[in-house]
Amino acid sequence: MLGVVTGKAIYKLEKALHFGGTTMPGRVVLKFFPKTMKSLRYPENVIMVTGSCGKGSTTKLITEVLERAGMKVCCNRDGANQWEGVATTIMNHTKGDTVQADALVLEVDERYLKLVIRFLRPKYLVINNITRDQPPRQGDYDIVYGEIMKGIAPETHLIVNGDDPILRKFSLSHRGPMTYFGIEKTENSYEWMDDIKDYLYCPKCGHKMDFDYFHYGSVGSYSCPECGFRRENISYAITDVDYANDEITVNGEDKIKVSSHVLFNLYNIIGAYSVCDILGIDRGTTVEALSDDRIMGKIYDEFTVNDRKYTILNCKAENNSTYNLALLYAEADNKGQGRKTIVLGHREISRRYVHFDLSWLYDINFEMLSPEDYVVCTGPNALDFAVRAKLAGIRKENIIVMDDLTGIKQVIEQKTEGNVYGVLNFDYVEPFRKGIRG
Amino acid sequence: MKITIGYLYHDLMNLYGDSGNVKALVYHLKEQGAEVEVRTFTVGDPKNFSDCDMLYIGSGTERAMDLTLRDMKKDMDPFTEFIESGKPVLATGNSLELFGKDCIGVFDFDPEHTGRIVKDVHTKCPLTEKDVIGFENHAGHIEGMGDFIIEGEFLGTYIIGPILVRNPELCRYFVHKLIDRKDPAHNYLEEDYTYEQEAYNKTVNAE
Repeated sequence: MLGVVTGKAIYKLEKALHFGGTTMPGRVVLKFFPKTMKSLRYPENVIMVTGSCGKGSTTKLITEVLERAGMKVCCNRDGANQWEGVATTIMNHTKGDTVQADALVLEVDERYLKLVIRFLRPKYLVINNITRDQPPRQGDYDIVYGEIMKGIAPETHLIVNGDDPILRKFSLSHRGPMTYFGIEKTENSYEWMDDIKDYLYCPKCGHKMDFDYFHYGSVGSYSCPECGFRRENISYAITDVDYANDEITVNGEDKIKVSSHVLFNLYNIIGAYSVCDILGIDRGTTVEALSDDRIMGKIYDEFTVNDRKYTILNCKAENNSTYNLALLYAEADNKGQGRKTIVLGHREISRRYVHFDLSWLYDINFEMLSPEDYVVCTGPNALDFAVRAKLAGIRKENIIVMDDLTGIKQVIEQKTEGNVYGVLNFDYVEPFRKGIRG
Repeated sequence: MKITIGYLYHDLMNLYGDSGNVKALVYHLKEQGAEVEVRTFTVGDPKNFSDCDMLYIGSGTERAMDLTLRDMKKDMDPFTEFIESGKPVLATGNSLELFGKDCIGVFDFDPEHTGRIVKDVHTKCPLTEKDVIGFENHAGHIEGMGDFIIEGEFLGTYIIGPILVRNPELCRYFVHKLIDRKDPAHNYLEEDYTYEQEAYNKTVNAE
């Protein structure tokens, strides 16, 4: 097909010229050969993953399982998740008019899903979460909900996090099948915390809901006393989290090794498990693949230097949930071990735009930290982090401000105590690791 | 000296870090030795503001605005009476629209919803000597409003930031107003806005 040939040629040319090459081929084909993408022969199993965080990780987990099950998978591993990027990935796996794969596993940006389904409707759509995320670009979570809704085809099988009321809200309008996954109450679930909660009011009738427990934000076990909207029918549940042995149990049976207990990681795993089980993959294969921590290694790291334990928690600026989950993790991990040190920082808030919006810092519940903890504020917004820490009640003497990460190891060793948690935007993870380990 | 801040619809109207405004007020009021209570009023709560020295409300999603307005309309008098009493009210983000013509109608402004406005702000403010900085992210537009609606002691602005965190002078304005109303003879203790001021200067100088 001319469209595919053209797209591939552009891709190869760009590669040869050392451009990134993930957007332009798709853009050209979608513009000049609008019917091409739609007319390709796709495999039956088309799986898409969308949501605010973790779609890349979930996509990789699913791909790992399917490949180990012997399937040939077409996946946009490079993270090119807007519709041009998705089209480029597909074209690169296409010969003639046939996509050469047993399954397509695609991470799709939550705002581009509605464009992608113009040429390809997924059989399965996995959604892990909708959170506050890049407000200047996305607006708010209800707007994102509406954008995703426009991209859901009626026949698509939705596989969503049933612990999150905003995701169960899709059941009010979706006519196709729906499957829920979730996490049962753990020792770290809590009854109440005075933090930011997106959905305390019923998505169906607007009445205030009751919560048996929370995992984070308004994610947990909810029920509406007015209309009965509630967390129920969780087909795939993490029934036990063994923090000491880094293991989770799914539906009381399958034990999966995890590299990190950060909740988003657990939701990514159970989301991937769910779709693989629905696809009929042998459970032993799924468990083995999901237990391989090499896939998730970059998200989380723990090491000891000069008798101090360091934990790196990879966060996403302008996404309060990633920070809240990292802080919840640090609190739980450090329980009973006295003062701890939190390192905050990023190189830039966003790669996409130059807006200077700091409001998200106040949607992070730094108040859960102890006033005696140390907070090391680094990078171009170090002062803004320092104000935030001060208003959260951290003692002023325990707040340290650094313009960048130069000398971070000495500062931590000489001025702070306890376990160190790097609660960092992804662009400061490697510089921080290097600053400590050399 | 006890100061009570009424935080309206804290569990619905808190979209863009708005609670930071309350945190900043509490911190700097306590710095002056005041005992501070933040009393929340949300859907279904009786709106008895008689003990409140100030009311605050922040931004919400469209749906949160609807739920809030539905509740406010059940009994609008307490809101109107509080504003008329001359005690300070601060409404940030889209929440200011709740007080307009089509909502509870305390004021006669009438926002249009024509598309999202997303931008950094650096503007003159009648309440401060220095310019006010912050951010805007909302869908409403009020013709002829400028950046602030000031009616008596009511201050409405689309600016988020949180505005009182990013503008120490504006925070101090409210802190002093609350304290002076309560105790005109108050002996001001040392205020520490060091980080806030340095952060403000850094932003302004970088522009």
